[in-house]
Amino acid sequence: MWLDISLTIILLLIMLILPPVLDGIERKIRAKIHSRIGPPSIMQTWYDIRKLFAKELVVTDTGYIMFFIAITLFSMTILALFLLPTGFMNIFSRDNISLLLFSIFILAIQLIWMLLSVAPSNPYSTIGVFREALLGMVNELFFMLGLFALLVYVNGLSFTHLISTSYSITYVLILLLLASYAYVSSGRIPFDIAEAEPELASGILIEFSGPLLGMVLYSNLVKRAILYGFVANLIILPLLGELNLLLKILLFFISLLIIWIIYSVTSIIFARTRVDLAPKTLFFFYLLVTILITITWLLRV
Amino acid sequence: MADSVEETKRNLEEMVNVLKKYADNIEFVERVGLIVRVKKERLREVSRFVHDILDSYFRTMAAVDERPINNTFAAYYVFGKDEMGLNIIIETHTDPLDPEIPSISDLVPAADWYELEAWDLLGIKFTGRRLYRFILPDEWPEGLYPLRKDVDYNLRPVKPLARKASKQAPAGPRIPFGPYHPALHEPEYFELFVEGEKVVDVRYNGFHVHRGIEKLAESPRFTYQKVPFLAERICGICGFVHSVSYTMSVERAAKIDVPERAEYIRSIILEVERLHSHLLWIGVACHLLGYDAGFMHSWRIREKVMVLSELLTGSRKTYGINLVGGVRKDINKDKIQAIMNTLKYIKEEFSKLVEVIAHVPQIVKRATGTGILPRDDARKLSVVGPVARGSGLNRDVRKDYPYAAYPYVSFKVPVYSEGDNLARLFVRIDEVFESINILEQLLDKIPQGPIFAEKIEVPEGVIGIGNVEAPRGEAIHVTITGKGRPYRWRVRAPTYQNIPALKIMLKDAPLADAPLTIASIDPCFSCTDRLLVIDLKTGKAVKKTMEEIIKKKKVN
Repeated sequence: MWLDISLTIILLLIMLILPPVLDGIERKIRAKIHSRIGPPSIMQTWYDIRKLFAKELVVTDTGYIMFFIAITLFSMTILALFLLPTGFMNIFSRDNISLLLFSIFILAIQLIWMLLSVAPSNPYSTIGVFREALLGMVNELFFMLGLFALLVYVNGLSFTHLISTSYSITYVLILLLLASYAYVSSGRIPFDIAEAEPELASGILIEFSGPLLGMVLYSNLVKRAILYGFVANLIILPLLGELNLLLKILLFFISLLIIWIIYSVTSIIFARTRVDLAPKTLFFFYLLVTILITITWLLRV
Repeated sequence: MADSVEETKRNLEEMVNVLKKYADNIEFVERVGLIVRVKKERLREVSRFVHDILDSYFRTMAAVDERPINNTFAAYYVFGKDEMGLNIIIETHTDPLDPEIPSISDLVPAADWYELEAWDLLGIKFTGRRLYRFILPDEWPEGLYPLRKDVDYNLRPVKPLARKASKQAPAGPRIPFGPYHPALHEPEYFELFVEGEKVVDVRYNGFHVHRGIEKLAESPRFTYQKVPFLAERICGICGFVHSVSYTMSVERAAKIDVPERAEYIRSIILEVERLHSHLLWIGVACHLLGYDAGFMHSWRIREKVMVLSELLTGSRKTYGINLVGGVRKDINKDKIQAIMNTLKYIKEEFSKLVEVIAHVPQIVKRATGTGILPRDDARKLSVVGPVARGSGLNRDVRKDYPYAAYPYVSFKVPVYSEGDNLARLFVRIDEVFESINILEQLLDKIPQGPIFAEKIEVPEGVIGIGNVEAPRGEAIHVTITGKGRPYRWRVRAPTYQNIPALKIMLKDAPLADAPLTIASIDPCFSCTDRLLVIDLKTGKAVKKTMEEIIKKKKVN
């Protein structure tokens, strides 16, 4: 019991420290591909966040609302993190409805992101949230469909059901759909249209500065780690079987790192899409995958 | 060739015969063009004839305070008959006490800004149109016209304040685009009026950092040979273009024969500058589209051009090697070899980059069919450079009004008819390869000899026109010579001619493409602004270095 609690806390702490480090690694890799040096160390993102927290708090008229929503976003992100298995099924992810609850938290985080963008009533931010909502309409819809397919496939509502799942074409397709969702939701190019720095001067983030911006950026990085960690669990949990616990944890973090790197490299080869093109492209892609899932499900392959 | 010369002569004679009906006096000045002197009452007729019937482009207009010379205000409208390489300068004068000239902006839309500028800076009233403050700050005193000769060059009557937002905004949300915006690298202000994500109207509010460079050149602090260095500071990217354009205008006015080797060196540096500018622009365009890999690799290639510039001139940018009569630095065999090596590198690396960029689906999709400037509008506004060539106009000063060593090399002028952002991107990509081709020919043919003219004598009261095809389009300088320095120096950068086209290009287009569309004219607003600190208590401007400011802040 005490081992479980200790391990849960330790892994939770690691998951809180790790996202900015993974971002630092991404920045170094991106710089290498760009033929430049990049930040001096992989800890640079942590230094940036520390610097933001050291700055004075400057807020707009709606600052208190923004502050409240940012706190809610941060708390919700941490709650989702509690539910995420990290190679080790912690005391929360063992719950009977952990997978369902986790998905609800993910959807709630996305919704709070939008609320956060509405709060400053800045024209750039308003356009940003409009774009986020338009993209979200497609993305969240297919996430729910994908999740439904997963719950039916694993025949349960908990992460523990993933362990006894076996790979099939249907499962790979569900995995593809949810991995795509994780990519889009993490606001990477070509789908970073809500921020779109050169177009909207950082869009939804335009009115944030200092500690508030630091908190929002940190929450965003943790959200990325949660989404990619979710994908990592979908990939490795059915394969882990009776492996040593430490090996399982190690495998999880390696998978998380690899997924993070794959996503970052993918974002480098694309340019930013446009708000009228993105939902259309996504819709057709998701629809195709959903149809294939249905067909393979019916064919039992 | 002989036939073509005969035909040009015939055309010119015909033209002069028709123009005689309107003009008081017509004079053909070698190296300058046809000067048509008309009474202001006939200005509109002549302008219509030259612009519409002769199908000439509007190139620039220089308004001049000539009261100390002939007690008038003068306006020189420069039209260009591109296919003949001929300038048609319509000169008109007006009363010194109540200067009024009929507006031609309804006949020649490209003249709109020039009239507003002449009203603002010289107080010449253009009748038959609405005049409003255009360049001077809102709080500038009424009736004080800085380009008049009785206004001292270092007069600072007001403390600069922030420019106000437009008073009559169309209904609907307004998106402020500038003066500080990540997509703009200089302070300019566009107000985009949107419906959802569609831009329905655009207002331009510019000249935030007008530096009065023209006035400064007329001041006792400057001489003919100092102005090239000032001219080079008009722009941080195409500064050499302005320097050559100015020296060319003086050389043409004074009939100075520049040695051929110096002309070759100028052309080489101009093409190196074009390579630098286009590589910079392609990088910026990639960044605006979120393709930072293209941005970084384009600038990696550009870095080699800057290293080369340093080898050739001693500076990575703002070269400072140009003077009236020639250049200050020669090119030896080692430098020629260095240029060849760099060109080989650029050719290989840029080809690879273009191959990649052309296959990024979002770039092609977002640049295709956006920011469209139809050919007719481009013609009406007399737009220049890649903006004109992307809209199907075959205009290039290097071909149309040959100068420096360009008559000795052969090259293609890339023209695309689509008029969209992709067309302008392709024009610039093609021009990088053409520049490399031009440089190879120039290096192969560069003659031996001096690099500076033997005799430099500039007579007073003569007009000269210098034009250079900058990376962004034609830069044109008009100089009226004075005693030891220009009496009037009129600078027209290419962006001045191209910005009015943005209203057409941005209208009804998606908001997301606005930064790319604005960038597609490669705007150069006001690059090398001097550091100016305003003491808020006294309202006085004081010059300080950045180190001094930091030091003072630390002490405080």
